[in-house]
This record gives sequence, C-alpha cells and structure tokens, in this order.
Amino acid sequence: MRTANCPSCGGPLRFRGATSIVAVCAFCKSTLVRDGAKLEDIGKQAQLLEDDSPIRIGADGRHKGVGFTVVGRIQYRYGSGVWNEWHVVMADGKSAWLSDASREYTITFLVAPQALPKFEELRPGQVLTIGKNAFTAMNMEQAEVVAGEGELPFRFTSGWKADVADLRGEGNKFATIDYSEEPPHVYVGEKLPFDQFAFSGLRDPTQVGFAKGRALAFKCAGCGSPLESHLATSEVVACATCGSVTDVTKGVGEVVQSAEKHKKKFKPSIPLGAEGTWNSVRYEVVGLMRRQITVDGEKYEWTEYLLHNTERGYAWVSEYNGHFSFIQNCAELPKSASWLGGKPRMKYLGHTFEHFQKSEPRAVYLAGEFYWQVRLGDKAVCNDYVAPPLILSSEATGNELTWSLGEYAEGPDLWKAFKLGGKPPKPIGVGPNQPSPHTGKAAFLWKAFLVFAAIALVLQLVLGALIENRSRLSHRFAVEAGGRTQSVSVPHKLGGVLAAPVTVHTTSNVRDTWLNLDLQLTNVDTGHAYGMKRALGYTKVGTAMQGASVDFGQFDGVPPGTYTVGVAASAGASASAPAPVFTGTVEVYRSALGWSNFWLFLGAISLWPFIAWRRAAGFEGHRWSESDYADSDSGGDDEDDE
Amino acid sequence: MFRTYLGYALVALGLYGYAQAKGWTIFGTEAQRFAAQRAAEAEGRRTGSSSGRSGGGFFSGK
Repeated sequence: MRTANCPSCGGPLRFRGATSIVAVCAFCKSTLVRDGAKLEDIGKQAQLLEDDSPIRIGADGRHKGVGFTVVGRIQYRYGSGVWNEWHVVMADGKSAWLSDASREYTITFLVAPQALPKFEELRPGQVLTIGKNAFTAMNMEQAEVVAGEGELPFRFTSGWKADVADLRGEGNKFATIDYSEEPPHVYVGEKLPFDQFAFSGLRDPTQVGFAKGRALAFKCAGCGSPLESHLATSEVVACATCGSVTDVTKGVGEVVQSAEKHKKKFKPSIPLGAEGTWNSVRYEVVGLMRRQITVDGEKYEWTEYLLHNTERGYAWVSEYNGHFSFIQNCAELPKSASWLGGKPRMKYLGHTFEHFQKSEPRAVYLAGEFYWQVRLGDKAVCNDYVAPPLILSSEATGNELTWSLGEYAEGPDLWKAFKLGGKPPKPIGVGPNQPSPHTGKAAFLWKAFLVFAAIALVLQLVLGALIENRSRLSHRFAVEAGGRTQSVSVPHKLGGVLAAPVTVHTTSNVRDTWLNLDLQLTNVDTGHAYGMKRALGYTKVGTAMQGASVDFGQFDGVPPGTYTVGVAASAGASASAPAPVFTGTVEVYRSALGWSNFWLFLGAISLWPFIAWRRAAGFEGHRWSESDYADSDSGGDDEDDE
Repeated sequence: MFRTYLGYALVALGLYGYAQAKGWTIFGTEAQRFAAQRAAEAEGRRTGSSSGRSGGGFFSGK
C-alpha cells in the first residue's frame, strides 16, 4: 500500500492496489492520477448518484476462498438505470471488478484480448467464444460514467461514454466487453448470489433502500395527481391517473412521456404499496405494468406487479385471467434442449421447459416507480417456456435479452401474504404454468394397473396349473346294439381349487340308433356322487337320421379330489347285421381356464386410470389451447379443469 | 382417490380369482356352448331357417 496526500486539500490518499492509478480524494473529490511518484490532479469528480447498494469502499469479501477488499467504484448510467462497478483488490494482488446492478452481483477479471465482432454487429442472443467457453450476448448498451470514488485502475472522467456488452455463459459464467478500449477489454467471471461473497464491513442497512425521510413526493406535471418515489434505484415514476412518466433520477425531473391518457381505467387486483412476505422475503409492490398482445385480431392483457426488497432487489408478480406467478430474474443462463413434438425446449435448474408461445407485448398501462426508463408503448419480444408450476421467459428488446423464472402462485396465498382485502379474482381457464391437479395421478394409476395386471396374470397361470385340465379321467365302455352294460372307471384325481364344474365329453361310434348314458361321478374319499343322464346317437326323422355321436355335459360344483365315473349305457337296436357292439369314451375333466375373466378384470381396472388420463389430457388441452401449439383437439375435454 | 382405486382393484382382483377358481365364465362352458349349439340346430330344423347349423360342424360329430 502506498499513501500520499491530496495535492488539492492535503487529505490522506491510499493506493492499496498495485494496478490502481487513479484515486478520488474522499474529501475534496479531486481526481488524482498516479504517475510514478507524482500525483496529477485532473479535476473534480461529479457527485455520485444516491443508490441502495449495500457495498462500500473498505468492505471485505471472499471469492473462491481468496479475500478481497473494495477499494473504489465507478458509477455508470445506462438505458435501464444505474449500476456500480466496484474495484476490488484480491489478497493475491489481482484486481477485479465487482458489479452491482439491481442486487445482481458479478465478479469479473480482465483476460487477454479476444477476436470479437464489432459492437454494432452484436445482437442479443448472439453466441461468442471467449477463451474456450461460449457466451451469449445479453445486453448491449452505451454506458456513461456518472462519477467515481476511491482507487481505480484507469483514468476516467464524468460523462465519459463506453459501449459495453454483457454476456452470459454456461452456469453462472459471465463476461463483459468494454468496447471503449482498443482492443476491447474483456472481463470474464461469475454471477453469484450476494451471500457467496461473505461480505463484511458493508453499509449500514438502515441507510440503504427504504431509508426513512427519502420519499420524494410531488405532483404529476400531467394531471396534478400526487406522486411519490421512495426508492433510490427508481428511474421513473408513472402516474396511474394520466400515464405521464416522470424522470426521478436526479430528484423530481422532467416528464419524459407526456400525459397519454390511459385509454381505460384500470383497477389492479393488488394495489401499489401493498406489502407482504413471499418465500420468506418481505416485498413492497412499487409499480405495475399492464401489457397487451394481439393474436388473430383479439387483444389479450395481463398485469405485472413490480416488487422490491431492500436486500433481494426486484421481483415480479404476473396476473393473467386470475392466474398468478411470482417471477425473478434467472441467476444462470438457461440452455437449449432438443426439440420435442415440434416444440423448442430449454433446460434450467434441472427442469425441462417446453415452448409455449412467442409474443410481442407492449406496455399499455403504467403506474408507480420503475428501476428502468420505462415508457407506455414499450415493446419486447417474449418467449415463454413452461414446466408447470414453473414458467421460463425470455424478453428481448433491441439491445437486451433477459431470462426470468416464474412459479405459479395461488391467488388466495398471495392475498394472505399481502394481507389484501376481498377475494382474489377467480381463475379463468387454465394458466400456462398452472400445475395440473391430475399430474402424476394417471401415471400412478397406470402403474397400479400394471401391478394388478401382473398379479392377475400370475394368478391365471397358477390357477391354470392347479386345474390341470390336460389330466383327464377317461373311461371306455362298450354296449351291444339293443343291450345294456355298466362299468366303472379307475379312480382319477381331478384338479382345481374350489368346487367348480367339470366337463363330461363323450364320444361314440354309434351311427344308426340311439345311445343313452347314465353317468355317475363319485368321490372316492367322501362317497359323494353326482349323477347325469345323456342321450346320444341318432333318430330317424323322415328319411334322414338326425343326432350326434358326441356329447358335452357338465357336473356342477365338483370340488377337487379323486373320482371314479360310472357308466350305465343302453343302446337301441341297429339295422346292421350282425348286431354291432358300440364303443365309446367318457372323459371327465376340468375345462381349460378361460381368459375372458382376465380380460374383463383388466378392462374393469383400466377404467379408472383411463378416466384419470383423459382428465389430465383434457387439462393439458386447455393449457395448450392458448399456446402457439393449439390444435383442434385442444380444449376438447373439460371435465374438471378448475 | 388412490386408496379408493386400490380398494376397487383389490376387490376386482378377488372377484376375478374367485370366478376363475369357480369356473365361471361369461362365454359359457364347453357343455353350455354345446347345448346352445344343439338347441340352435334343433330350432333351425323345426323352423326351416338357416339360423341353426344343419350339421357337419365341430359339435355335430357327423
């Protein structure tokens, strides 16, 4: 560290960083450039704009285990507001930049010059390779230096302009290209949550953000309505009455968009100023924007409420047809995934999102304060991807691409969290990211169905094996034409599980007379007998012989066991000479286990999952009926989508 | 809902197993089908219609 005294006021100066060549005197704001042992005063610094950054010079932090100290900052203004680049000196002597823009923090290090496209050729979404990594251009702006303080590694003056591009890489990789240098300076690093820097020595929280006494109250120049701005980060305040937009970056400034009377009165569901706790963070509703798209000549509108928390920065709540989502900027850049069903997909935080719709909304109503220079009529190109209850959205303007992640929020929960009176609007239809009440149900039921089907199949096979239909009690008999005979079979085991029918199949060689059989099935063990009379053979009807030489009958309710079959056969006289001896066979067996009950069972248990699947499909049909992928089937089923 | 379905499916499984063990079938046993076939043939012969098979089929044994 090198110390010196300000040549202008004599105040002490410190150069903690080896790369620091500029120091702004904390007392007289002189900008002093170090040149060897000399200090050159290149003029007074402008006043820094008041902001709500929690960081200050002298604060300490850590990055990847290496400590750093904040030694200076440059405050920039760009189209969307003001941000700080904090010059930090690492414990290992390296210099880095800690960017603080609307509570989003990135730390970047200068890398070797790269082959880069010209600033004018850069487009949002364009992919560049820096080092070995791919980066996507997210934001191209001309930034203007507002002022600086502390130690800085290069000369600068207030009002100095620089073309700057911000890029996002895989994960939390981040890059900034400063086109004001030749060749352009490229800084590569990471976007990280505030807590990961393990800061100490920050500003007093009570002096940041919603500090008391900083409210800016004024009358709208357009209509005279009372307006208020109480956030240091606010750029404009929009009048809810007439739509005039007033610049408040330097106190009450000029009207930057004159009173374009709001075409219609709009009463927001959530009023400005409402405060509530969502996801354990206390937010205040500070602004709202009504946006509109036109599809096939029909206008669709939704509301976006801007929320602010001193520590966490900004978030949004969107409202469309009674469906709400809580939205925050993506910490990382979502990745493209392979298409499915003709839809582009994105991956983010382990979720795969399907493209829902592309739209070009424009702002049609503004009220409250905003951290960027918003105007009525502002347009953007938006792409929404859904993975209910999440919705991933990209929003591209001429020079900026942003990604945000929303999560479906139930209206009653929001009303409770923000202590709102009345009831939330009733949801109409199905929201793009509304979680389906049927999610997982049909799949679970189909899984249960498969389990039951497998059990039934095993049961079918086991019962089939137990019934042993191939093992038959078979008994041959013989009877002379015009005679009678009796015989009994040898015992035979009949399979089965419960008392069930057994089939009696009789065949004979009788051709020209009748054959009567008196059958008796007897359980050898219990003596229980089952009787049956059967008539076979032929009778003469006119000149034709009618009848059959085979027969099927059955004994009902026969339990498994060992049985004999007794056959008392009597045959009619035969015209044949000599009188023939008729023979036949009686087979007693369990009929093969049929499959009809199996299919009937499957049909019965498939009904439930099928209905659940149809309901889920109907719900999804309604969801996608408002997407770019609506088809004629969409919305066909409306069994219970609310 | 899931419990109801599981209960429903268990009852259906029980009924299915019981019906199989008891030899119940919605299409009739061999004997019942044979009797029905013979009755249809007899009716066909009585009325002279062609609805009943006139013999020569599987069950006729001719």
